[in-house]
Amino acid sequence: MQIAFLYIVITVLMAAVIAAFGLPFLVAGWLFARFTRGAIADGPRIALAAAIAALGIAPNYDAYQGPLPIYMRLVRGEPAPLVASLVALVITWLMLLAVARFFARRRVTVA
Amino acid sequence: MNWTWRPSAIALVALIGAVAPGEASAGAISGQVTSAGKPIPGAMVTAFDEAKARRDTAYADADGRFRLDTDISGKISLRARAPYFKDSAKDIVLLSAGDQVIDYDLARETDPAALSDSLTASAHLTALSWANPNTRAAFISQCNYCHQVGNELTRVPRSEATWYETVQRMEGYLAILTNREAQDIAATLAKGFDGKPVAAVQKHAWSDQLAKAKVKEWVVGDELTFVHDTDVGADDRLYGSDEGHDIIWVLDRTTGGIEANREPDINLPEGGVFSGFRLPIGVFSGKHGPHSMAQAKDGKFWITNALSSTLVSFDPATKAFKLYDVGRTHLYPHTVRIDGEGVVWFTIAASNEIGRFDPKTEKMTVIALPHDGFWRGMTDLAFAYVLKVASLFPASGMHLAVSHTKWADQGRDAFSLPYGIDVNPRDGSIWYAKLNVNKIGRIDPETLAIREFDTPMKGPRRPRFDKDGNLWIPAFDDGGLMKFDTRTETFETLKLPLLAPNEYETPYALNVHPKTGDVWITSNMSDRIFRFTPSTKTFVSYPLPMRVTWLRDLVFAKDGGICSSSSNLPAYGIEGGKASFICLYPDGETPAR
Repeated sequence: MQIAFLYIVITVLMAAVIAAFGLPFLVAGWLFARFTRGAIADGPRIALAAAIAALGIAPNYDAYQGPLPIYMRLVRGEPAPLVASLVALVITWLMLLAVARFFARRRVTVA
Repeated sequence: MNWTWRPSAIALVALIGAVAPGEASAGAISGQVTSAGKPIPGAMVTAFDEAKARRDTAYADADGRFRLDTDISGKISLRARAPYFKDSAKDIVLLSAGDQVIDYDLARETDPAALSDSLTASAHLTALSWANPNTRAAFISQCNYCHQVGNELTRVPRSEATWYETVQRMEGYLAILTNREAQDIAATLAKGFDGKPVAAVQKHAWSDQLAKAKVKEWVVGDELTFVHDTDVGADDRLYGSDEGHDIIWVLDRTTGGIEANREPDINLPEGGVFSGFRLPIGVFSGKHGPHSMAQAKDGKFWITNALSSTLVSFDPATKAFKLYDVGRTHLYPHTVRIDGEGVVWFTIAASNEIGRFDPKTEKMTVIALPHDGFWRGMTDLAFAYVLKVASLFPASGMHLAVSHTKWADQGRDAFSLPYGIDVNPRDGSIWYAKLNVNKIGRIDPETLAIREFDTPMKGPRRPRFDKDGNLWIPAFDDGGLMKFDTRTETFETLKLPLLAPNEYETPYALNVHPKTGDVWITSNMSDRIFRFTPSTKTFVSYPLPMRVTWLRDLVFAKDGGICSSSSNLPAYGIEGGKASFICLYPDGETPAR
């Protein structure tokens, strides 16, 4: 339980760093969603945009419990175990998807 | 134990009357150390008392002859040791004021494994093949400041995964590495320390100065004792700060008596403000972490408490301690010195500051040093708060998870690390060394204005002034010695003498003898002390009797001793398994009082 809490605290503390490293992917996801509006149905469009963003910020935790985006680990030549990376990618994608849908619904409501 | 006991050579000399062990009065052991009839100059003959708590050593002269005046009496183990020869041990009984003649005929060591085991850590380090010079530099800087790597304890073959776990554990203690450096160090150690004998050829330069020298050692504490620094008091006793156990040890060298003075408790967890670190189990069980000490004219010692961010005074007469808070965001009060006005100055290593404390007014001033760039500035601003959060998860090493030493690949470059400090006797200015940014700096004691200078060698650690105002600086990372003339603001550099060209040394501290002007320097990878004579620019190397001798501050006693503490971490890695106070008497002992 304490370990789980430790991971949460670390992730919260490192959120800004992770977001900064993932910024190119976050921007790419946002641009994708914006420029494919009307060309792709909302559901798959938002799912794809969230997936692009998730690629940039899905964290991998090193031996020190320090998180960095998976792609950064790969760029730096550091190990990023496949299963843990896939799990992190899916969880991050689902979280981003939820956030994106929330904002999309809010925009529709406001409009 | 590394020395070879030879039962056949044991000579138990029966003497009339009861023999009481102790240090009441001096006896003498003399003789000759030869091999196949040829003398062995520089051979060390060491007397161990029965409890293995005292050791006295003499060096053989050009004819192999030695004379060991010792205050150890009773049953004594006597060992002769010389490079490339088998140790030879004899048990004797020496009466107080007795005199014995013991000769040694040493056999050449021909077994490759035993020969390899007899070599210093510096020789074993040559087995490491570094693919990247930056990783080697990180290894020297971050792994060698606590201990020799390559000694009997640390060169045990391990897999890369096991080494990686070990390196990670060390990072939890205080080593600062990038992920890449940690992985590369683990890989290099796994490959290099393969258990095969090292075939190094070390050349031991014998000096006729050795013949008149003597080494005395007093074992202190247990296998987990960590006497970081030693100072000599006005009473000529030795005072040692046990950083792991919050104890100030006091040694009376005339009686051999050692007393332990424990610092008062404080409202902090084990590990103090560093409780989030993975502190070495058993070794660091305190809260204060007394690190460095200096004695004021009124007799009080001022001691930096690295882990509790406090300064403490210790009165040797009353044994009373008094704590002064530096502030918990001011991290790791480090080396302390006292100026001519009685003001206490100390470096605050992990937050890049200098502390100033006036005992008369009890006013504490903390001086921020230049930040040395963005990332180091970030450390200066944020590290204290990271530690506060990390302390919520004791011994977790959580600080590493959020530290830019890791995620921004800064490693040790994230810290400036002001380290040693000293007072210029010419003008009273305060000078410090910044270890990780290769700088020294000057503080005007009146205006507190700061000027910094780049050093030509890396790893300036604990500098000391000579009486002419030259600052002598050990270059830990480059195995060198620097001299900075504060009048002309120019440097001179020298490399320390090595036992073999591919070895290296890590000089942690030095001191300048107030009478001779000689500079005494720790070696730390090869169990030696160096004496450098500035007028002739020559070194004399004094080999030390015990393997894994890792020394820190050197101080001068009135009886001619150059004293320190043998403080390799952990103490059980030292030959004999325990820490000790150690004094080298280059001209033999002279009466102290």
